[in-house]
Amino acid sequence: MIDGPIGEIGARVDVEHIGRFTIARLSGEIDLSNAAHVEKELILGRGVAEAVVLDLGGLAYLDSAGLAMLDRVHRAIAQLGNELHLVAPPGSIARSTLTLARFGGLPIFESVGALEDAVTHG
Amino acid sequence: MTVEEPIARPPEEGAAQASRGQSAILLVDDRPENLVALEAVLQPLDARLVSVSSGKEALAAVLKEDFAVILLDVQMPGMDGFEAARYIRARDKSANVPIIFLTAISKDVENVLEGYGSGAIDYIIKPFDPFVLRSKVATFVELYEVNGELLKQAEIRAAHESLGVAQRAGESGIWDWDIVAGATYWSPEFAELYGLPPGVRPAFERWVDLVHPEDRRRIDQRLQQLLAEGTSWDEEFRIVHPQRGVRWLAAKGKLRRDADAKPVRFLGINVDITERKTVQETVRKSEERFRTIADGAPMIVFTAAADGGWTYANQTWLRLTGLGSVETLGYGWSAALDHSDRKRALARYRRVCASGKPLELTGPVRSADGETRWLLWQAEPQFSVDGSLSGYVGSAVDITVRKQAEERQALLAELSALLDEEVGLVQRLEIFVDFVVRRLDVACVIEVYRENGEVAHRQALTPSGLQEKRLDALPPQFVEATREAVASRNRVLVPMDGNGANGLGAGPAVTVPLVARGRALGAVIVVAAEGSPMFSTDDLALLESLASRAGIAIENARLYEREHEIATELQRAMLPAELPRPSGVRFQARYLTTAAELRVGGDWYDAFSLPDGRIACCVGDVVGTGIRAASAMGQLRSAVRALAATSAGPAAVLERLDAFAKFVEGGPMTTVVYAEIDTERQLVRYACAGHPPPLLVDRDGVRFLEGGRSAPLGCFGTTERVEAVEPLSNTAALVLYSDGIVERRGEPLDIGLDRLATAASELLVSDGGIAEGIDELVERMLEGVRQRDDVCVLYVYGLERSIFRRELRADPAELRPLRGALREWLEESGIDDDETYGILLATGEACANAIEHGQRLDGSSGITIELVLEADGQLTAVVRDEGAWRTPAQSRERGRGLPLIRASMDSVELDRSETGTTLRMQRKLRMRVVV
Repeated sequence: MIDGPIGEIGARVDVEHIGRFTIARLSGEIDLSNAAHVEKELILGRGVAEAVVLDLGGLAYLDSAGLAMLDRVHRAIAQLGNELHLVAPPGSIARSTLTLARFGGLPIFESVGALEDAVTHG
Repeated sequence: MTVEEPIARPPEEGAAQASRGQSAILLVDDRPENLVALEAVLQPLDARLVSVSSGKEALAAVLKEDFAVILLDVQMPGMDGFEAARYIRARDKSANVPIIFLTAISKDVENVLEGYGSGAIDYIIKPFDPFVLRSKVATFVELYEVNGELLKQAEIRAAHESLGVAQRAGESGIWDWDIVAGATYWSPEFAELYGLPPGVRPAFERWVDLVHPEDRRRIDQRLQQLLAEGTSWDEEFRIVHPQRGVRWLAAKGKLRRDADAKPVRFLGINVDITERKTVQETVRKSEERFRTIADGAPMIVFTAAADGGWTYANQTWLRLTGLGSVETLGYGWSAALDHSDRKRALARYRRVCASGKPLELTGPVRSADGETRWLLWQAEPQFSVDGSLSGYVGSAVDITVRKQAEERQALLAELSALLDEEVGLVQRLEIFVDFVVRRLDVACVIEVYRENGEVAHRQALTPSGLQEKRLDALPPQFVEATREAVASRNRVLVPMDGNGANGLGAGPAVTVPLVARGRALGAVIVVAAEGSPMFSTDDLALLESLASRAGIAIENARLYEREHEIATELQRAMLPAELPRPSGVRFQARYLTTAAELRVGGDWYDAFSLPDGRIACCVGDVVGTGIRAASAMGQLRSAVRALAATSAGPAAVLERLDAFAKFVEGGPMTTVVYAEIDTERQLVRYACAGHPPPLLVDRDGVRFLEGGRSAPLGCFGTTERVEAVEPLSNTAALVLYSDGIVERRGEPLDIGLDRLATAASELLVSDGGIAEGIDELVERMLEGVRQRDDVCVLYVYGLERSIFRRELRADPAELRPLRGALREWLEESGIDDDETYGILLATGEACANAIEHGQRLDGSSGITIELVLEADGQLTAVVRDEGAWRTPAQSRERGRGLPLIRASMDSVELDRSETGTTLRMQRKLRMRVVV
C-alpha cells in the first residue's frame, strides 16, 4: 500500500471500492524506476471486485516501462477472471503516451463516469 | 633671359664715385659679390651708386642724403630687409623713397605680401634679369628726376611772379610818332633803353633797324600790318644794347586814324622785360626738359590745374589710351577710365583735388587695344607763392602685373582651400580639374603616374562640364609634350602641325609637370578653346603656380593613401576573417574605418572558443592611427588569444596582457574589454581596461555592465585587474564596442552612452536573435557625424541556442531528477507543455534504455545526455551509453520504447558500435512567441 503523499517512489496509488468496482487512481510519475512497485501495489490492492478501473488521469509521466506494467497488470487480472478498464481523460499525460504508443487491447475511457455508463448500459 | 649668376665684373675704379649723376641709388646687400653684381648692372645708368652691406648702414645712408630708389636685399643677418624698410618708411625724410626688394627666397605669397606691406613698390626675385632690373631702377631714377625738375619749376614760377611786381615800377621809354607831320618824339628813358648815344634820335621808320636782326623781320611785318589795318600794338622783341647786349623789350602802343582811317599818330611805351624773359625762357626750357623726360618716361606723367583738369599728359599715357594730346586735356582723360570703375574713380579724384591733398588712387583703365590695365595714380599738389593750390603733378604706374599677381595669389589661395577640404587623391584631382576648368575656362586633364611611368590616376574635364572621351586618349603630340614636360620639369607647349592643329582641335595647348618634393609625379594638360589666343606668359605662370600647388596636395594625398592602404591591409590581415561559430553563441561584427580621414585606427575585435567550451570575446582600441597602431593592434589581439587559453578568467587575462602591452610599440594606453561567456551556466564574466562598458541587451531592456573596471593597459606601475560576473540569460545579447561609436566631438561621453542605450533598446531588444538591428544601430549612431575614429562593434547574440547537458549513472532513480531539470530547461526556453512532454518522453525512453544496458554491464558506466535547442526551435537530443542497444526482440516489454521515441521526434538515428550506443533525436519545436 503506497497511500499517502508521493514520496521516494514518485508515484502513488489510491484505491477506492465502489460497488463491484475497484477504482485505483494513479498519480505522480511512472517510469523504469517505479513501474514494478506500482504493479505490485495494483495487484495486491485490487480487492475482490469484479472489475478493476485504473484512473490514469492524475499521472504526470508515463513511459514505456509504465505501459509494460499496464500490460502485465492486465494479464494478471484477466487470469483471475476479472476485467481491467483504463480511464485517461483527453489531454492528459497518460492519454498522450497511450496514443503515441498506439496502446491497444484495452478500452480506454474518458472518465470513470463514462465507464460506469458504458458498463451499466452496455 | 635670366642668368643664373649675375655677371661678375670687377668693380671699376671708384665706380660709385665716378658716376656723378644728380640722383643716387642705394644698394643694400650683405653679400659683397651681390653688391658688385648690382653695381655692374646699374652702372650704365647716370646715377650715383651707394652700396652698403646691412640694414643699419642703409638707415644711416638715407639720413645723410636723398635717394632716387633703394634696392634692398630681403635676407640679411641682423635686421632683415623688411625690418629695414619699415624703419626707412617710418622716417619723414625717407618715407617716400621707392624701395625695391631683392630676394632669392621663394615666391611665397606671404613674403611678397610682407614686402608690399613694409613699403615695397616692387619686388625682384633673384637670380634677376639684368635688363629688367636696370629698366625698373631707371624708371624710378627718372621719376625722381622729374619730380626734382618740377620742384625747380615751382621755384622759378615764384621768382617770375615776384619779378612781375618789380617790372611795373621799372624803366620805360615813351615814343610819339606824328605820321602826318613825319615827326618822332622819344623820351629820354627811351634812349637809355636802347643805349643810343646822346642826341641821336632816329626817325620812326628807322626804329626797326634797332631791333635784333632775328626779330627785325617779324616786327617789321607786324608794323606794316598795324599801319595797314591795325590800331593796337603789343609786341615783344630783342634789341642789341651796345653795352648790355641783347635785351628783351615789350612795346605797347595805339595807332590813331583820321576820319578816312588814315594813320595819323602812333603812340606807345617800351619796357625792358629782359629779366622776365630770362625767367620765362628758363621756365620754358625747364618745361621742355620736363616734357622731354616725361614723354620718355615709362610711367604716365600728367599735370593738372587746381580743378583737376589736365594741362598736360605724356606720351606714355597717350600711347596707352590712344587718346590725342589735346583730347586728353581737361577731363578728356577720364574717357579712358574703365567703365566699371569710372564713376567711383572720378568722384574720388575730384574729391581729392578739391581738398588739395596728395592723391593716391588705384583703378583700371581701358587701353587702346581694349585691355584692362590697372594703374596706381599718385599726384602731388602744387602751390603758388601765396599758398593757393595751383594744380597737380602726377604720375601713374601700370600695376597690372602686381594686380594679376594678387589675383593669382587669390586664385591660389582659393585652390588651396578647396584642395584642403578633401584628403583623398582622386577627390583632389577632381577638385583641381574642376577648378581649372571653371576659373580658366579651358579643358583640363591631370595625370598622376606610377613609378614605372604608367598612368595611375587621371581626371579630365571640359568647360562644358563633360568628361570628354576625346581627352581619354590624347594625340601623340600631347603624349610627347607631356613626356617632355615631365622629363624636363618645365612646361611644354603642344606643337601645332602644318595646318595649325595639334590633334585636339586648333586651340593652344600646354602641358605642365606636377612636381612635388623634387619629383615629377604627373602632368597637367590644358587645352584652350579653338580660336583662343596663345597663352600669355602670365597665363602660363599662373598655370604653373596652380600645378605647383596641386602637386604638393596630390603628393600628400598619395602618401596618405599609401599609408592608409598599408594600414588597412595590415588591419584587414589582423582582424579575424571569419568569426567562429561556437555552439551556443553567434557573433556579428561591424568594422568601419575612417575612410573620409584616410586614417586607420587601432581598433580590433575578436571572438573565439576556449578549451572548456566557453566563448571569449574582445574589443580593443590602440591609441593612435596608421601602420603603427594597426601593428600594435595585431600583436595585442594575438596575445589575448594566447593568454585566454591558459588564464583563469578575464582579470588574469588582462593582468598578463598588461605586462605584454608595455613592451609593444604603441601598446601603452590601449583600452580593452574582454568577456567570457558561459552559455551552460548562463553567465558572463568580464573585465574592462579603460574601455567603455559593454552593453547587455535583454528582453526587459538594456543596461551597461559597469563592473570589472580598471585602468588602460600598459600604464606605469602595476594595475590590479578585476573582473565581474553577470547572469546572461538565453535570450540576452551583449554589445561590445569601441568608443568611436559613442564619442562625438565636444560632447561628454555619457551622452554618447545614453544614445547607444536608447538606440539599442529600440533596435535590439525585440531583435529576436536575428541581429538585423545591429546595422541599423551602427547607422543611427553615426548619423550626421563626420566619423573621426574607427568604429568597431561586436554583437554577441543567439544565446537562445541553449544546451542541456547531464551525465547519469546507470540507475533508474536518476531518471526523475533528470526529467525535472529537463522540464525546467525546456520551460525556460519557451517550449510549451505539449512539446515538453514529448521531449521528456523521448529523452526519458532513451535514458531508460541506456540505464538498462548499463545495469546489464556493470552498473558503473556513464550515460551522457545533451540537448541543444537552436534559436529557430530545432532541438537535437543525443544520448550516449557504453552498452549495446537492446533490440525489441530481446525484450518485448522494452519494445515500446523506440516507437515512443519515433512518435515523439521528427527523426531518430541509432548508432550502435562496439564501444556503445548513441541515439540522436531531432525535433523542430514551436517557439513560444515572446511579447
